[in-house]
Amino acid sequence: MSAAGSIAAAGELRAHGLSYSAGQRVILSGIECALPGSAVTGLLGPNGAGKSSLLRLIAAVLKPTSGQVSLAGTDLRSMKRKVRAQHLAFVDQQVDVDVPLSVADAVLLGRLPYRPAYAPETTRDELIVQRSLAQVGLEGFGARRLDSLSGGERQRVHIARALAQETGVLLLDEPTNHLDLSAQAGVLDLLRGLALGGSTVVAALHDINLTAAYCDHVIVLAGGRVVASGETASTLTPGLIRSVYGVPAVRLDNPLTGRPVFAFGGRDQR
Amino acid sequence: MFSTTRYLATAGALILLAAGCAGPSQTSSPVEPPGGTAAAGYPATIDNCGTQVTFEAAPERVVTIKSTATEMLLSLGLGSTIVGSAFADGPLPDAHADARIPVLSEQLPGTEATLALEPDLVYGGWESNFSAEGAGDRASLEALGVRTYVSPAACKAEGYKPDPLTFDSIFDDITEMGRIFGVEARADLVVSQEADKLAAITPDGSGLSALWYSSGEKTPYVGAGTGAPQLLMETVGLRNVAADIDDSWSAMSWEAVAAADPDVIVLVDAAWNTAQQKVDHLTANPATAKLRAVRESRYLTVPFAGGEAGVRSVDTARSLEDQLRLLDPLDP
Amino acid sequence: MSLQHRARPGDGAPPTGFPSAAVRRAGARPAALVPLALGGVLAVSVVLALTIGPADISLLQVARSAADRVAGTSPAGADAAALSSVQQAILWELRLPRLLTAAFVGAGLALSGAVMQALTRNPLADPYLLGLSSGASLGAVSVLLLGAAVVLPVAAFAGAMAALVLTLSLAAAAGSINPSRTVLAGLAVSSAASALTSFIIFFSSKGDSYREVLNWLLGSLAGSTWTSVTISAAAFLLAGIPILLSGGLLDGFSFGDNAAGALGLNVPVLRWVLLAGTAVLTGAMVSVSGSIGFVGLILPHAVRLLTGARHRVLLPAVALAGAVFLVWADTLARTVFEPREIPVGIVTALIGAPVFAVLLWRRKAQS
Ligand SMILES: Nc1ncnc2c1ncn2[C@@H]1O[C@H](COP(=O)(O)OP(=O)(O)OP(=O)(O)O)[C@@H](O)[C@H]1O
Ligand SMILES: [Mg+2]
Repeated sequence: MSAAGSIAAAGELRAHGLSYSAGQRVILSGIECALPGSAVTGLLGPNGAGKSSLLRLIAAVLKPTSGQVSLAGTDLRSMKRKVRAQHLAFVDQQVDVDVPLSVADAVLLGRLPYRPAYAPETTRDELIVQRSLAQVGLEGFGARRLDSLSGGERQRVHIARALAQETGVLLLDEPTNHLDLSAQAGVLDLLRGLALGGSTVVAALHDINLTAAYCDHVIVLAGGRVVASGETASTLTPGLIRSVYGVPAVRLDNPLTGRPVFAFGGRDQR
Repeated sequence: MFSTTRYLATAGALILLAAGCAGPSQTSSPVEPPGGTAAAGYPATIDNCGTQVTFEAAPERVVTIKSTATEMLLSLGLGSTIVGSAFADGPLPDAHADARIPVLSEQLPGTEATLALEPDLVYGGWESNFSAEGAGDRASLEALGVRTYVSPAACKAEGYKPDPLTFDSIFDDITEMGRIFGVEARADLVVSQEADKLAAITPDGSGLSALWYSSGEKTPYVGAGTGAPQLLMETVGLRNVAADIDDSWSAMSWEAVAAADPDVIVLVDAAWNTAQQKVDHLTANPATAKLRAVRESRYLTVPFAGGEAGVRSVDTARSLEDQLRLLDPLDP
Repeated sequence: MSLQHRARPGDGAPPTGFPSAAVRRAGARPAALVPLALGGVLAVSVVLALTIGPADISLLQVARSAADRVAGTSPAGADAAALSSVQQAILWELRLPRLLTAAFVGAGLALSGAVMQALTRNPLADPYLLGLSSGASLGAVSVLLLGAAVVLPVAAFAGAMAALVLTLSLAAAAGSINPSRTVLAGLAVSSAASALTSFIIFFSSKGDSYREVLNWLLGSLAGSTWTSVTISAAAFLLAGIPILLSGGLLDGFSFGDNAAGALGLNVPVLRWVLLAGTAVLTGAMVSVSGSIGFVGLILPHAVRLLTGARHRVLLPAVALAGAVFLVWADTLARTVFEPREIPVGIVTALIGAPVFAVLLWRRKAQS
C-alpha cells in the first residue's frame, strides 16, 4: 500500500451497548462488538436486520439512542467531524448518481476532510485521486461523467472516493452490489490488501460464500441484535445459517481456494 | 311616484305642443305612462361592443357598476331606476350630490349579489365588470333575462374600441342611453347642453406637452393615444407625450417619460392613490425630480372618475382648462 | 487477482483525454476559465446596455458623462455631446441603477437555484420550488396592499424565511427530510402562499391599484432606484458571497446526506445555514423586483453544461451568468415595445420555458 505511511493508525473499532430507534421502532439494541484492525470483517444478516443502520452508527452519520463507538479507545462522537473523516471512510448502500460530476471530481470529494472549507484542492490531492482510481482499476476514467458509467464502475468510483480519504477505517455497505463475479472478487481482493496494510475494513455483505472466502471475521445480525461474532471459520456454521436465514446449508471445501464454501437447500417450510 | 323622467317627458311634450298650434284645452290632457310614447321605439336592438342587446321596454331596475354608469343615468334623470350601484370610482359630482342611490358594494359585486336585486339591466363601465367572478358574463345574464350594457367608450373589440375617442361618440352614447330608456328628449337636451359647454372651451395655444399619470410607481400607467385622456388633453390644447401608443391607457417606461420631459403632468386623484402621493413619488425619485413639470410643480388634477369617458367628460375638460389657465407660465 | 487488468477505459471508446497530473493542476482546468470569461461578458453587457433605451444616448455621451461625474466637473454647455440634466438623470438615476439591480437580482436568483438544486438533490429545485418566492411575494403584497407598517424587503425576507421553515418542518413531520418530501412540502407551501396572495389582491384592490401589484407579481425591474441597488447588493454581499465560497462544501452533498456526513460535514447545520442564506437572497431580490421566474431554474442547468457540476466553479459562473441573463432580459423588456415596457418576468418565462424544455430533452437523450 503506497500511502500506508499517511494512513491514520487503524485500530480496533468497538461498539458498546449501541442502540438505535427510529421513532417508536427499535432498530438496534444493545450491540456489543469488536471490529479488529488489520482485518476484513463481514457484516451479515437478513434484509432488515440492521446492517446498514449499524454501519451508519459506526460512521457517526446516525446518532445512537444510547451507547457509543470507539476507535482505539477514543469515542468517535467526541472527535471533530473532520478528524473523524480522516480516520474513517464510509461508502453507503445505495447512492443516487444523477449528478453530472466527472469521475475524478467525485473521487476528489474524498479529499474534503483535508482542506479548509474554502481552500482549493492541491496537486497532492489530484495525485491521490489518480492513485485511488488506479487502485480500483479505473485509471483513464477520470474525465468520464459519472452518470455515463455502468453500475459496477460507479461502485468502484465510490470505493475510490473512500480510498482518497486515506483513512485507517473503511466501512462499506454492500460494496459488491452491481458487480459481476470477477469485479466482486476484485473489490474483495482490494479490501484484503488494505487490511494487510493495517486498515480496519468492515463490509456488509449478502453473499455468504464471498464472506467465507474473504473475511477474517464476521458479525451476524438478526432482528437488531448480534447473534454471532468472531473468526469466520469458527463462527459461520451451517447451524447459524439455518437459524438466521431459515435455509439449510452444508459446508464444503472449495478445491480451488481451499477456503470453505456453503451449499444451500430449499427454504424451510414452516 | 312622480319621477323626474315622467316630469321631463311631460315637460317636453308640453313644449312641443306649445310650439305647435295646440289650444289650451289640450294642455290638461292626461299624460301617457313612461314608455308609452316611447313604446313606438321598442323593441330596440343595440349593438353594444359586438353583443346584440334587445330591449322590449325601458329598463326599470338597473344595477350600475362604476361611476360612469351611475352618473349617466343620473344626468338623464333616471336615478330612480337604479336598484343598486357598485364599484364607484369616487364621490358623485356636485350636481348629483344629493342623489340617494342604494349602494350594492364598494367593490365589483359577485353574480349572485347582483342577481339578488332582480335587475332587468346591468350597466357596467368596463367590459371586465362582466366576468364570471364579477357581475356575471354577458351571455349568462342575458339567458336569465337580464340585459347587459357596457359604456361603449370602454369596448375592447376591434371595430368597437374608440379609434380614437371623440366627443361625438360620447354624445352618441348619451343619445343611445336615451333611446334605451325612452327618454330621447332628455338625452338630446343633455347633449346640446354639453355641446355648448364644449364649444366654449378655448384650447391653450402655447403648444404645451403633457403626461396623463394615472397610476403605478414602478411603471407609470398613463393616458395613451386613443382614449378619454387623449381627447381631454387635445381639447384643452395639450400635446399628449404618449399619443403614439395605440391604446386608451398604457404602461410607459419612466425613461420614455423622462426623454419626453412633459411641460405639464395631469395627476389622477383616487382615494387609493391620491394626487399628492403621486407628487411625492415624482419628487422623491431622483430621475423624475429632474423633469420640468416636477421642478416647476406644473400639475393638473383630475378625479379618477373624470378620466373615464362619459357624461362628465366635458366638465372634466373645463376643469383642466381652468387649472391650466392658473398655472404660472413656463420658466424660460 | 488484481483489478489492474480489468480496466476498460471508456468501455471500448478511447479515454476522453484524462489530463496528466501536471496539466490537472488546481485552477488550470478549462472550466475554471468560465467564470473569468463570464465576468468579462458581464462588464461589457452593462456598458452596452447602458446605451440602449428609449432615449437616444450614445456610447460616447455615456463615456463623457461618466468622465464628468468622476472628475466632478459639470458638462461643458456648448459641447454637442454633453447631456442635458434630464438625459443625465435617465442615465444615472434610471438606467444604471436598473442595470445594476438586474445584475444583482439575476446573480442572487441563479445562485439560490443552484444551491437549492444541490441541497435537495433535485434538478427542478429553485426558489419557487421550496415556496420561498411565494412566501416573499405574500410578505411583500401584504405590505403593499394592507399597508402593514414594515419595510418591504424585511416583509419579503420574513415571508421567504417563514415559507422555508414551514416547508422544511412539513417535510420533517412526514419523516426524515428527503428530497422528494421537501419538494412536495414546498409545493404545498407555495400553493398556500399564492392563494393567500391572490386573496389579498382580490379582496383589497380598488380601482386600478391591482395594476401595480400585478406588475410586481410578474416580476419587474421597472422603477429600480439606487435603493434597490443597495438592497440587492447588500443581500448579495452578505448572503451571496459566503454561499459562493462554500462550493467545496456543497460538493460534499453530491451523494446524499450520509456520504456528506462521512466526509466530515455537519449536514443539518450546513443545510440550514445555506438554505437560510438562499432565503435572505430570495427575500431581498423578490422585494426589489417581484418574483421573476426561471432564472433560478434554468441558469444552473445551462451553466453546468459549460463547467460541469463542481460547485467551486459552478457557483461563481452561475452567479455571473444569472447577472448577464437578467441584464439582457430586462433590456429586452424595456426596449422591445418602447415606449411601453413589459414586466421582465414575462421575458424570462418566454425564454426560460423553451430553454428548459431543451435541457430536459438533452438530459433524456444522454441517459
Ligand atoms: N428511519 C427509519 N424509520 C423506520 N424504520 C427504519 C428507519 N431506518 C431503518 N428502518 C428499519 O430498520 C430495519 C433495519 O434497516 P437496515 O437498513 O439497517 O437493514 P439492513 O440490514 O441494512 O437491510 P438490507 O439487507 O435490506 O440492506 C429495517 O426493518 C428498516 O425498515
Ligand atoms: Mg442495508
